[in-house]
Amino acid sequence: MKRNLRLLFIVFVALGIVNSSIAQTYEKIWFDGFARSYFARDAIDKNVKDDTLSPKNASNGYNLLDLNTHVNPIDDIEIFAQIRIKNSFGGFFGSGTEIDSRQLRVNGTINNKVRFSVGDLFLKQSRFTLFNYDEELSEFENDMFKPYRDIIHYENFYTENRWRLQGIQTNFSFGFDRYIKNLAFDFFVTRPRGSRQISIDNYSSDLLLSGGSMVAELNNHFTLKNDYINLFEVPSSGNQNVSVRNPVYQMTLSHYSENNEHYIEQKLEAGFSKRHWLHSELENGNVDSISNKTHGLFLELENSYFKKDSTFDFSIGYRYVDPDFRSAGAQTRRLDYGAGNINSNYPLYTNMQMVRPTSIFDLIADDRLYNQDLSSNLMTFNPIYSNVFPFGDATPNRNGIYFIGRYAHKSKIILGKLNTGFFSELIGQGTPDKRRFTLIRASLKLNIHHFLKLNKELSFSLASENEFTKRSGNSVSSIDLKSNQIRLSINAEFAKRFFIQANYRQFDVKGNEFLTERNNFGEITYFSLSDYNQKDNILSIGILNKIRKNIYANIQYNWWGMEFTGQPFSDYKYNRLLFILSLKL
Amino acid sequence: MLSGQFLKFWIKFLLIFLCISSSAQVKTTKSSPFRSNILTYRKPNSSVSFSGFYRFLGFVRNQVETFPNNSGKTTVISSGDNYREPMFLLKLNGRTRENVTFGADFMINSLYKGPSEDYISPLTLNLGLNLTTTFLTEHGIFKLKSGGISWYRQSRLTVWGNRSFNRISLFERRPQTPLNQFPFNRYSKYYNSGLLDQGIRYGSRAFQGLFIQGTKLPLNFSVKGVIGKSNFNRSFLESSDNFTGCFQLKNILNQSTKISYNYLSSWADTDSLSYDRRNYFIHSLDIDKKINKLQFQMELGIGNYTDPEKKLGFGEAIVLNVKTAKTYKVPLDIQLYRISPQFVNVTGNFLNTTVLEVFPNVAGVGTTVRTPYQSPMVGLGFPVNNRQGASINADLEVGKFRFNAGIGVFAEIDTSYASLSYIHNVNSQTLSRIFLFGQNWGPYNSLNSTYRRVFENVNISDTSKTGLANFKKFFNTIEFEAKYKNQAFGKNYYIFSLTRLNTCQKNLVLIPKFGERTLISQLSQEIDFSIGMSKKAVFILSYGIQKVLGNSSTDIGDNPEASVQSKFFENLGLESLYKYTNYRNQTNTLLGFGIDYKINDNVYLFLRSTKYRYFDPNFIENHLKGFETMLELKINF
Repeated sequence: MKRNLRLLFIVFVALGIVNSSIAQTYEKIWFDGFARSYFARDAIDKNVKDDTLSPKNASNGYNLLDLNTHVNPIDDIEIFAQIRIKNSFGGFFGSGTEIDSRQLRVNGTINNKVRFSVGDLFLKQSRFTLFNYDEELSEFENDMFKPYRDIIHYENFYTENRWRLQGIQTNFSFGFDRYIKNLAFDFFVTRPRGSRQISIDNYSSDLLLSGGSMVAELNNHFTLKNDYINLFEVPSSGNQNVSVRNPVYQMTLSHYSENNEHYIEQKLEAGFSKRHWLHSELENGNVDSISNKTHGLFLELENSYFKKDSTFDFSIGYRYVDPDFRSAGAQTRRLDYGAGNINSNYPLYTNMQMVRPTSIFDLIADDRLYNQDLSSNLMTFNPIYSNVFPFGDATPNRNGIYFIGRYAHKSKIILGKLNTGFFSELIGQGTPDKRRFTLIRASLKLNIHHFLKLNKELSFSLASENEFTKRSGNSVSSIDLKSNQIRLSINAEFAKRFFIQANYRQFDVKGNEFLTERNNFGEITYFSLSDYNQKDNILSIGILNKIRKNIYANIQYNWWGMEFTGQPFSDYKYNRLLFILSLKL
Repeated sequence: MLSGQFLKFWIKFLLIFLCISSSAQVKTTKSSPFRSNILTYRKPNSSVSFSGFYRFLGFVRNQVETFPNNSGKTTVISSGDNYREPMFLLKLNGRTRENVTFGADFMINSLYKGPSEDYISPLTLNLGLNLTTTFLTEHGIFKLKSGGISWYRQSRLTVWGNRSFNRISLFERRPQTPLNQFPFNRYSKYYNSGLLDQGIRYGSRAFQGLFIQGTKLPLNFSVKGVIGKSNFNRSFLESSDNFTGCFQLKNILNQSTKISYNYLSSWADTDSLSYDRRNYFIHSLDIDKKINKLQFQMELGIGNYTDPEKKLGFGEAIVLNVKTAKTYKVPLDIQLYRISPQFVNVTGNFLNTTVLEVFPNVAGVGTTVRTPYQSPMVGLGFPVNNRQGASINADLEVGKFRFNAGIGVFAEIDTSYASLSYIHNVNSQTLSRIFLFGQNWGPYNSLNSTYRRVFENVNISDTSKTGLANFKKFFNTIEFEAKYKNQAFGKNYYIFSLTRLNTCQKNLVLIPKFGERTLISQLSQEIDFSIGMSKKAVFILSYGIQKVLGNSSTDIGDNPEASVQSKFFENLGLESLYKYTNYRNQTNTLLGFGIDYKINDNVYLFLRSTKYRYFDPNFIENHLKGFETMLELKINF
């Protein structure tokens, strides 16, 4: 009810300032936002015979408008409120309606020198301190599934690999005329999780995330950057007497050189983390103590080359991340397989009403599987989809080299990308033997219309993502896991801004891997062996109408399913009809 | 240890740089220094405007006579319109620079029942969200619309809102009733043209889904369509299929001839596992032709209905209208129609009476959209399926009198339910307010409330072995409206008289008759008197009476003593004009007065006070009597 009153207040304030008719003419308040119409109809494939208990089809849809209200009471201050108005498809005359506040923020500049933001922030530091890594199997996404990805990212506030946090942030910089060129400072304090009542007499503590950065542009060739971040609980804000501390320190030295054609960068990043749990306000007057204390280092050396005409670039590097390196801001995953999330679409299947295993289609299409909360522990991951870098570049217990390259033909006929990595563990898990990882991802796009000099686009794309995990040793501890995703897609513009799209995606995984179970302090407590032999596939065709920039309508049909061999799951197949109209206002 | 060292390093570092900074120039560098937060400054991109209204409706009802199952509460004091109408409607209308329009209408209601949180109504939407984009191509102009409720109209047999000849009493007000420049204009407009602006929804159907429209296509073609849901498409499980899709392809052959093809399909799952499905579809051809001063409109359709229990097969429908120009002394409007029982649709301009199941019957929502379906006796211009017939309407102007009248004869094509239904012409809103959207209520479970209306079901005892009526029903309707304008004491006044007679019998008759051979006779008379007291004020008086009589084939009352059909004629001693009956002998009366007052531009006050009575001496418990008063303050902005 209070929420509604607040919304009412916002609406009335907006209306009052707006002066009833044309709001836009009053420059102190203006609007933009986002709107979407969504409809999906799912159906069990006609060939499926062993599921007569689930509905043969199900549909859902909604329309939403995120109205961004920008209020500029003075030139350097902006109050920003995002109000979500949503009505479900099939709700008439007020039923099925939701109105919520989605974001509220003030930002501005003090004396034209110090920038500040209060409220909903989208923060990012470095890849080892605060970074929201892309979800697995999304590196070479094409236009066919862009509407799905757009929803996942938008609904979960995934913007430019930033975490959405709530708090206060400020930054300012100095310019110098000697010794040093620029010096920038940035600080923030946020609260990823507020104290809440967890039982009648128990309250959890506030979880805070604070950080700071100092970036010194020494000259045109050298930049030095220091980052500090700390995730910690405030014990007195709850009564749980156990609180986590996870500070991370990082220093980056970058060197740049360039001429008219080339640009070269060398970067050395190094840092360390600490994590422990503080036990305070103990019974019988015992003094505070700490437990589960860990330290971890990381180091990365990267050399990058860019051709200035954008036809070729590559990076080659070496990375070392300690087994005990822990950085909540960088290692929190978008997908949490341990959170008990179940698929929104047909969560149960077969006449046994088993929980349906998540497929790559679910990862693409189900925005509710994704996570927005920072985690102080390593989250559960599914090794079949990401076993090499489940926690991004900050994945602990990795040591190896990588190569990332991109090539584009001058006339854009061919565009190729390659991402490889050869890593191994630093210490074995449950055995002296270490895992060895190989990552090979590559994509190739042929712009046939450039080759044939057609006015309308006709392109063909092929992408492959492969992960190999091996661990030698005895028959019990050895691991051999191979996964491969292959994607083929065709885009053909048949009328102005209208595209026919077709896409086939297959994901195969075969082998075995040990899943780790961890306790509340992140310690491994158990390994369980899993054998895999399964195939995911998605076939899609559709029509995309790129109406205008940031506005598109898409209708597509997906056939998707999973096949298991020698596993305690039944195969499944489903179909989906999807319509999305997406507008950035 | 490590952190301590690092902090010391930081502190030293900061101190050194603070010292340096005293000699340095502090500025916000142009080369975008590092910041952890996203840069959010953007330029305005969309224009947004607001409009809407505030409408306070204070309502008091004092029931002197109630139904026996009344709880004992006889007085109602409330605020707000209970028919899901907003007290405060705030319409947001936006347009981006890329010419995309978006809109939402916030609806806020307050019960004004004290500060308790229980009585605070949530902020919600009235019609929902709408997104529209238009794009121009070399082949035509296309409009794509998606979102909440939009009012859509296609053709009479496919999608068309119920629209009759607009013969109504002006005493009742609706939230959509627009404000005029002066209060008296509402009455003068009705006198002059007979047509009142009832808002955008009048004559259209509420749809939501994806709307596509193409105009200025090659060869004078245009197309429009929607796939989504009408308010009849309510699934009993939210995720179950229940959709309607339709489109129209239209061609303007020349200035006097238009032709269009229409298609509609509606389908719904009827079980939770989606194995059973109900489906109907319609193809129709619509022709509009003008020959001199005659305008012909004809729609010819074929439909098919199937569900797990019924396979009705194909059925035909034809609606033909012939209108003469208004320039004639007596302009005519002739309508013929035939809609077969297999031709089922709930979104067209006719009532479905053959398949009850197409109406949603979902708790909380289904009751709001079930129209009369048991052989309804309806007014002119209100087609019904499983029926055929003709009507003729005419206008005439004599001095200060204006008349319009119509007569119609209709017959069922096939036998149907052993029942009838009739819509109350008098006290219809009053009765519907007593039990909003109730089904089969009242002491005899015969009343049904829809939106601002009540219809009543009548059982027929003459049945076949299958339980259906043992005969085809024939319907007659006469509507007569007289309007008069004059001045008294220098003040303009209007008198509107509306007489409606509906009958149903077992045989075809050209002129409706009362008597034992008529199953149900419904006669109503409404008289409105309005006088402009000043430029800003109008005083209104209204009287209505409705008499409904049933014969021996209909429900018998529970009063063992027969009652006289007309006390008026009994008192006059005209024995040939009245009889005694044990069957339906219902009288509805209304006497009311009101004031329309303009406080300022776009600010109006309306007062309505009525005394009502719903009474049947043969059905002892059918007795309602009381007073209603409504004070409406409406402010447009």
